[in-house]
Amino acid sequence: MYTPVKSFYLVILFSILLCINATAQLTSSPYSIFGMGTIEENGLGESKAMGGTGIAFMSEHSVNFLNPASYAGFDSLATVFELGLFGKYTSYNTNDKTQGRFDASVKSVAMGFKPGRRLATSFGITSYSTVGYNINSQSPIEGSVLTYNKTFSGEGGVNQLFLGNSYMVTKNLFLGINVIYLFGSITHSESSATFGYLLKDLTYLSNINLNYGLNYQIINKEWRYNIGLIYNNGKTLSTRDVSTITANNSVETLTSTTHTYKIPKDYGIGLAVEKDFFKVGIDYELKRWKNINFSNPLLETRNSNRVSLGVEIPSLGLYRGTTKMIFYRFGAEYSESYMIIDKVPINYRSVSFGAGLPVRGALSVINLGFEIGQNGSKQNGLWQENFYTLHIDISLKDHWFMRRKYD
Amino acid sequence: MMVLCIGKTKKHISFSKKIASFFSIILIFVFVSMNSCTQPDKFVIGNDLVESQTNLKILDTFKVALSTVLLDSIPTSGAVVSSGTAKILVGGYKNDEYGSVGSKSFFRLGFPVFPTLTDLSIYDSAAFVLNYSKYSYGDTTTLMSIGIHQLLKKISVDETGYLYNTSTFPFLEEEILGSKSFYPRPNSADTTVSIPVNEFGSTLWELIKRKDDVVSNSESFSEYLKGFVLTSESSSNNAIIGFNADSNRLSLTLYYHSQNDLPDASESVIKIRFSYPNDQFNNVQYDLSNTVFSELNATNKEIPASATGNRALLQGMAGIIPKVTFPTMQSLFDENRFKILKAELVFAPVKGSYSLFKLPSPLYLFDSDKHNNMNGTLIDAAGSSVISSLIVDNLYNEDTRYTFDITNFITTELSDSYFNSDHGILIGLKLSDFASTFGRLLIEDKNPAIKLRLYYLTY
Repeated sequence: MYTPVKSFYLVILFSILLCINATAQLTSSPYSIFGMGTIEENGLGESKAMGGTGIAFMSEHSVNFLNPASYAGFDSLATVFELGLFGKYTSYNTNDKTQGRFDASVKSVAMGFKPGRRLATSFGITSYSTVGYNINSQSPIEGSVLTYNKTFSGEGGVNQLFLGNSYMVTKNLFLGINVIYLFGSITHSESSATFGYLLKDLTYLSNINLNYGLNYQIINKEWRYNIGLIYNNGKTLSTRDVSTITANNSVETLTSTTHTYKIPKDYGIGLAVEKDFFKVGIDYELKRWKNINFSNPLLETRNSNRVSLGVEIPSLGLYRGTTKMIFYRFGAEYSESYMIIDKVPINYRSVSFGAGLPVRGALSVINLGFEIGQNGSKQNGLWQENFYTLHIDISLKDHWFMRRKYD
Repeated sequence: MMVLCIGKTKKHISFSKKIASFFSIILIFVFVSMNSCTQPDKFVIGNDLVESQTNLKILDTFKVALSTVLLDSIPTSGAVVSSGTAKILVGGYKNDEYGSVGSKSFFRLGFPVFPTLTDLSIYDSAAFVLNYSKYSYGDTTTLMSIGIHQLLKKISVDETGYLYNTSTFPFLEEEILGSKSFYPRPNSADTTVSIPVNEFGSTLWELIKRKDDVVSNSESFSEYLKGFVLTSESSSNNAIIGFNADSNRLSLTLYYHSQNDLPDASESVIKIRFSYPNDQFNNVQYDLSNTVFSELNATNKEIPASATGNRALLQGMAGIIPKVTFPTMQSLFDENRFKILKAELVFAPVKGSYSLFKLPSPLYLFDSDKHNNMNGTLIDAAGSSVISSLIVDNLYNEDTRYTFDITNFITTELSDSYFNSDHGILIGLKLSDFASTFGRLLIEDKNPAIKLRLYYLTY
């Protein structure tokens, strides 16, 4: 039984890779200047081509991290190993200028398997939030008519290392829990190349949080109806702050100000209808950010909402019903973020489509998802981000738990 | 990867191949994402959201105490200025603003290979032959008169290995070997100045001819010659002229011919060449009596600019050098969180004081203490000498100024949270020039006053 050990090594290895990358930056948006930055939604893999929909979907081809109850859907013989990548082009538009940039990174690594008939397990790592911005500004030099170029930048984010279990209570009822270790670091800095100084505020964050999930399935002839519920109780993260000033080529540690970072309470409900290989689902998710305060006077918080719709259609014809079948996916998402900046609510909308393509024999799938969307608003001197994201999710299945007779 | 590849069945090998191709994909992505992390500098969107924690201002209100210092002595011997600038400096110059300066130059000759002279060899003449070094100071259009004397004591360096602007060796003023009056042509390198010393040459000729012990070896010869000093022979001299101090371009030359030579045969010579460059030095005289600096002397070695008409004097060779200290900097520590990102020392030359002469540039700074020692050239954080940048306002003559970046000096001094107000800076020429040229400058301290400009960051 060395294979689980082997896969454990794999996940550790990829986790390290992801961590290294996460300390750089995943996505970039000047909106990520606040708090923990841009909150990444929990939908992984194939849900990326369906507007992030998945609260009521069972995990079949991949790990559905949105709802831990879904892991019960794993093929009882296969181990799923999954790697999520993305490349994103964003154009930032204000009323009078446009700037663009490209980002690419690893988004998640996860694996799942079924150690028993009723129990399914998953673990992996994905990002909770990312901070990435770099803003240049002309600042006056007091006591003169001069100005100088000052750069504000932020990087880092919060990762979620998770271990999830789902338990089949009855034939129709599945309960799940994700035990999540949240960890990461966020750096905000202010610097001037001309005068050679750097003021850096680095915060390390960590804590354990729990995500709960339920899935209830009703089968009526060829139709399957699923309802999914998710919940997390929220958490205050433990922080350690290190502030330094670098000037004249020497570094000085400052007595630091402490920051408070909180994960909000989160409620979600999803509905899904499936027939054969066709499925459609909708999600609604609410996060209670309203009572979480940020010190920035420009920022007002509200509860964030996410609604999404996703459809999956199998290819027609020859391979239908076989492992060589292609899945086509479509979806749309609308979410109101927790941010109201200078009276302007920051909302996110996108449409997505994609396909699940079987490769190299039966068990591996590449899920491609293309997402086009908008975030933010040009009002009050803010900007709108128009983005095009290609999500690539590579999903490997292996029959590690199959005992071969000829072995 | 070894751990991953230990699978024995075909199934496992193909799985590890898949893993290998995954790694390639990841690596490509990591590479791409690293590249995308190099930020375009011009990214300005988001400007309104930033809350600045840092504030930069220029402070120029800290007092800069300017004074003129007379250094005990400065080394002027060849060892200090050997980098091609070693020179014989002789003459004098008078000025009501800067004071009067003069220079005498001491040197020694080497031991040549003497030819065998016969009864047919006839002595003609002898002269010290000097070559212009192209350096001059003062008014070179007036007639100069210089003379040469023999020393009564052999030149030798002191225990420090140097000879100074104040060093001297005895000679008799009235016993002059020879003198010369001439209109200097300092820029004409191929022109020589010959000081005839026929009588002295004749005595030497006799010694050589009869192979006296004195000319038998280097030691006895240098005991005999001891050394020479070039002096300014007239109080009306108004220039100091530089001559090369090297064996090819300075010698005592004896001219002779053979009795049986044809009438048009060329003259024979014996060249006793300049040698011992470390023993060559210039002795400098200065007289500040008719200037605002008249109180500056060997017992009163520092005078504040406020007592000398709000100006400070730099005079190369004489060891007169401006000094600045920063007496009120300690009050910076009234503020808790601050950094000095840049510190500039800015001053103007006294207007009208540089119409005749070019302003010296670049100037160098020297670390100093309360005893006015010259403790080495001031350096920046990268270890290079701090030098001035000079802006000359040719149009209005209003904004001519020198600026130094003394960030390293200030931040180093501040680093222990105590600013030593005795720690000062001397404003001079490059050390070798300070010891070999008469470069001068008057620093203005009133209109405008010398300033320390601090780029001060709070956070």
